[in-house]
Amino acid sequence: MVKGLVTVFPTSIRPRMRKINWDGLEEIRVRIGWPVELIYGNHNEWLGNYDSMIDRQCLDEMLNYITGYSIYAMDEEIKQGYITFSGGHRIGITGHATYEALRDTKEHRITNIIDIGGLNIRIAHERKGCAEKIVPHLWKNNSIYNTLFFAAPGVGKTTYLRDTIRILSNGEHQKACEENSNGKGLKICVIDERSEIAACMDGQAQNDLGKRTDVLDACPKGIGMKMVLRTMSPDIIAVDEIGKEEEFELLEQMRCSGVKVLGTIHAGDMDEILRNPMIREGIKTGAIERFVELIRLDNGQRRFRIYDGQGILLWGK
Amino acid sequence: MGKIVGIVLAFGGVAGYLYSWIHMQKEKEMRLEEFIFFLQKTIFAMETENVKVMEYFARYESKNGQMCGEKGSILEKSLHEIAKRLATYTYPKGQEAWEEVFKEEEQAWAMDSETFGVMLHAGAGFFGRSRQENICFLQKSIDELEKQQVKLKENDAQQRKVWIPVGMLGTVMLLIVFV
Repeated sequence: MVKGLVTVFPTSIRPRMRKINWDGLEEIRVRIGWPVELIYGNHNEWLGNYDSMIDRQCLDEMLNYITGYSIYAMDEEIKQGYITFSGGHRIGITGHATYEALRDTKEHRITNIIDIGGLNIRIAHERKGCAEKIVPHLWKNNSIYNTLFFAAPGVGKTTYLRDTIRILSNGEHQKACEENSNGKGLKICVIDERSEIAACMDGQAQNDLGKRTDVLDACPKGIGMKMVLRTMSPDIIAVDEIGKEEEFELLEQMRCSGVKVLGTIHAGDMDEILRNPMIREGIKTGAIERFVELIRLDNGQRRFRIYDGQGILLWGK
Repeated sequence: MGKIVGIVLAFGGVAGYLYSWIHMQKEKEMRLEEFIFFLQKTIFAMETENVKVMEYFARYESKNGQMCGEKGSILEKSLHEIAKRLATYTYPKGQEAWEEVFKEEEQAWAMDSETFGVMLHAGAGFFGRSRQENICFLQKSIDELEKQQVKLKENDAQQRKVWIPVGMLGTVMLLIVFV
């Protein structure tokens, strides 16, 4: 699946891309005026030298391949600064942003990104089993604690969230958590606003999210959470990158409905989490009960720590 | 008896030729009409949904082909071929695949050079950077092609007016001379 990414590169550099080491590759950065940069867990490499620099034509060619020759159909994604490519790989975009002022407010809204000058291809990794050791710490009375995964960008929040969903959905956790369990899984609804968790193509998840998982693809989290709560009777709702006030308010609503929440949030450490007023409010009401911190070590491996709602370390060092 | 058979054969031959010529003109008009309708449908699709060019081309099914009892129209075949070529991800610009396929099918389209030129460039209306740009380009192509369609119909009517009487009278003259 990862090697399929070669087709997004200009035909002139594809032979070189086929030869690179794809194991452990986390990001590929493409910038006009520079060769392609390959970022691994613990080091980075440049593809070629000054003889293989990316120019405007190369980048336009790439955009055609990435969007399936339909750049105009991706205008909403481009406005948000990213495109999700088949396989769940997210491609970040930089360039010249055009914006307009919103009426009666001081806020602005991006209307487009033109003169695109750089792409960051973040490679989606499906690491089955990576969350096996985490799930028992989240288990409570045949369900889970409301849990948020947090880490700096690029550490693997979505990868761990995805595997946690798979384990809980298949019921693999019960075998680990409770003896003599028949391994009945939980009904999970995934609100996949950026199509990164399930990587749906034609309505079908390309990543393994387990047999009891339903996916609402490309739907804003706020709308999607309310929708599935009413219609899909989930045990757990899973969302990626919670951040807006409205989304935190919905966590409280979920708590009142008896639905558990699994999510991710950007934060460097626990102090940062506890300084966030919206999270503090969520902790106070019990809408957030556990935090899982992911840490990337110098050798590229990951370690995790588990905290309770008060920020007290429960597991890990 | 031989003379009667000869007369029938001569009239039949000329009538058959004229009929096939009229049929060919009609088909040409239908092909152009289908192409224009396809562009109009595309504008509507672009305004109302997020059309992805490759899927859109691959999904296209011709109504004209079914009416004529053929497997599919030239447009359908061309669009499917463009989708197939684009799926190889080897064309830096989508427009290149469009032009390549249309040039290969130029004889089958059997259009005059002016009309065919507009059809060839209409491809740019599918691969532009913004929806508005595409819609504008497609609308311009439609306007141009509609003008060509009117010309084609007028030309066809004029030619019919001339060639049907000329063909029949010519046959009568030949019969008078030879019989």
